[in-house]
Amino acid sequence: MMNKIFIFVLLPSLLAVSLPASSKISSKDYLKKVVNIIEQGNYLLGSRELYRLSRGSVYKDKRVQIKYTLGMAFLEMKLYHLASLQFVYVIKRTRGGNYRKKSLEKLSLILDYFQDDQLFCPLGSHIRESEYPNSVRNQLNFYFGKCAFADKNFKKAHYHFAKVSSQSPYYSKALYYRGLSYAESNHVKRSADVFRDLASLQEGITDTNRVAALMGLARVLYQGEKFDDSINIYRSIPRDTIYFHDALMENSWNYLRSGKFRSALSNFQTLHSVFYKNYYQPESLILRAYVYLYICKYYEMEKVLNFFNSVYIPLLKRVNQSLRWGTSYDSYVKAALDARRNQERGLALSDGSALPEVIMNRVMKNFSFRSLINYLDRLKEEKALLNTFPSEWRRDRVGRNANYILNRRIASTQKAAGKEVRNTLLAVRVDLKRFSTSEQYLRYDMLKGKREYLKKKISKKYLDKLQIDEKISRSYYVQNGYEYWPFDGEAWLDELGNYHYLGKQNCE
Amino acid sequence: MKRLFFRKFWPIFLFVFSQVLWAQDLEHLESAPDPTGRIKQLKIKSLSDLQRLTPYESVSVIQKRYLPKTFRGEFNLSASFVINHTFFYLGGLSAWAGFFIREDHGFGLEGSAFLPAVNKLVTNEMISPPNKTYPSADVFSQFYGGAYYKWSPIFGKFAVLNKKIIYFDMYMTFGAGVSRVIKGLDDKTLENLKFTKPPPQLVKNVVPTISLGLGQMFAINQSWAFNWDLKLLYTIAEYQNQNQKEYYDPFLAINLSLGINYYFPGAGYR
Repeated sequence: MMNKIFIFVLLPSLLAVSLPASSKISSKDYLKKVVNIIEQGNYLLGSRELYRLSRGSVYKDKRVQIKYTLGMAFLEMKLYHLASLQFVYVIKRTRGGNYRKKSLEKLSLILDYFQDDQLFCPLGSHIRESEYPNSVRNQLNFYFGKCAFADKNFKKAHYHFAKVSSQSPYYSKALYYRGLSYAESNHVKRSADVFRDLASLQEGITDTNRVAALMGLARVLYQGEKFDDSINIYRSIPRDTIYFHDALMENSWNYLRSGKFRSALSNFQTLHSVFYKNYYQPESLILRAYVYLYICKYYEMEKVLNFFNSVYIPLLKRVNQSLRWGTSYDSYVKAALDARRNQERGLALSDGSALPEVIMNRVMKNFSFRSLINYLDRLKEEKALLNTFPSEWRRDRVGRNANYILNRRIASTQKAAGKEVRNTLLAVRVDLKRFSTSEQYLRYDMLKGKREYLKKKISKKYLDKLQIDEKISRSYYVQNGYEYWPFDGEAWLDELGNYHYLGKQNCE
Repeated sequence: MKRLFFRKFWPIFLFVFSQVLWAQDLEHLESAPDPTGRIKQLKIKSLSDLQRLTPYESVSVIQKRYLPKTFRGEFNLSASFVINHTFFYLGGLSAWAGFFIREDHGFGLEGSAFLPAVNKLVTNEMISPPNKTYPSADVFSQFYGGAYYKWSPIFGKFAVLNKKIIYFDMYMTFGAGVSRVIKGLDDKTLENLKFTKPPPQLVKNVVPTISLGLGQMFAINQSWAFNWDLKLLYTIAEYQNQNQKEYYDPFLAINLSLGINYYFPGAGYR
């Protein structure tokens, strides 16, 4: 509230106050007077003058100080992106000194606000580790570790993540990335140890870091072909977290690889429930068809494959249409933002939208895309704030430049987000083509299996024999503390993940 | 209410749950296909239709209880009302503390205490001139204390406006204890009224009582639950008439209690 009063009431009046007529840019104490104005809290006037000074040649030798002070003024005016550019300038143009150190501190704060390290990563080559200010040492190690991880420089990433103190709020995240980087560099055991440590650190059952660590651990164990251990970890993922669907899907692979077909079918009962009907899951369909093939349920398998063809082949065509030459990045972002808006309102995406809802859900799961969209939101907020400033300031060189920079940044972020959507679509296309090939192989196996079945049926060999597990009793005991419900086709949210398939296989 | 499941005691279930209706999700009204032929006829239009590929009898839901009770203590505090007394309004508090050895079996101690009786209109008309008739059922159980065994054969869940799932248990209690029986009209009132025929006197105040209860608890979270409880207290009062002759007059009180249950220690899982 106070900020608004300041912007709307006080600032216009302060802006009207200009520097004394006797003050000239060429005069020696002009910069001092401008800095005084900033210190007095008149950021609008101060920023105008500082911007002029930063462009001129009179204070060429003081440009670092001017840029830093201008950055501070922008920071106070909540123009974070503009402030970050000033601090980046100071860091790049200095080799040491107080301004450099303070700029690093301020830039770290802005980095936390934007959650985007695009500006930050290129600075890695300009900053020595000994220069990290103590106040943001952990933070800088974490962000530089992330930059190294993104560049697939895992050795450097390990080094930085290991430097993050266990007392720091960045410790959990650093540990998670450390586990990831070990996994990426194929150090399965080390990675599993790190994820275990991280999971034991967090107390809340649904704590995002804890669940992410468990997911990481389960994936690493799967990578190391320890299927039973991996199954146990996947099963401990709480259902009221965003990872639950992925855990079920990935665990189905575990079940398949370890020959637990009933458990895999139990998982599909959840994955293919009405709650996940808008999820992108061609993989689970193919996997389900595989399981049916293994247990010789050819009619069920055919239904699944037909459904795959009826849904995902048209989807592939739509994806191909979207990827055709000439589709702008902006239209991808617009479609994604519409989808997000609808998701927030709990509405379904209309049929006329640029991309189907199933694909949009897949896009919204892309972490880089989500980060870019959040960054875009922040930039747009900054732009909206800029438009509330007095027109005098906006018409000035500093205002015009700020507007130009923000517009350019918004455009480039939008383009980057659009690229992410396009990349996701390309990945979807590759996926669907791959699954489509699998579908054809499966169909071939299915027809072969059906033919064998019919041959045996004609020769009456099949019907005279009991099926393999016909004799096995499926009675089970529900332990105390558990409850049992007969499934009657209703889907209940609390039952997700608790389905148990007790059917029999048809193989001879 | 969308689904109920009951173990062994289905007649009670039918009797008590007149408010419970079976409702089915319309999307799933079609029954499950059998694996031999009907699967061929199935049309799979959406992802969730794939659930119908498996016969329903081949799928079970086994899950941990939301509000577990095994080896947990239970404490209840309720507002209690006698709903069948002809002549007095009776209200008070009841409480019980128990322990469960299994999900469906528990035992404990219970008690109730009632405030002084408030005359109903009919009572005032009876005792006032010109009627001046002494009410026949003049006693009530002021305090009751006893032990009980609790059996919870029915459990279920229902959805509230399709937003929240609430789990419940239905239980029965069988108990015995003692009651402190007093007259609804106090001595001073009786003296002032001067009945032509003196009312019979209670021989003993403390008399044995057996209780039979039926109730339901609705889980609020893993430690708290809302509880209603209907208890039948069968008490035999011993009187002495004006001829100094003693006789027994049993009475049945139906107590309705509405209150809160607390389960401890905290549940170890989600």
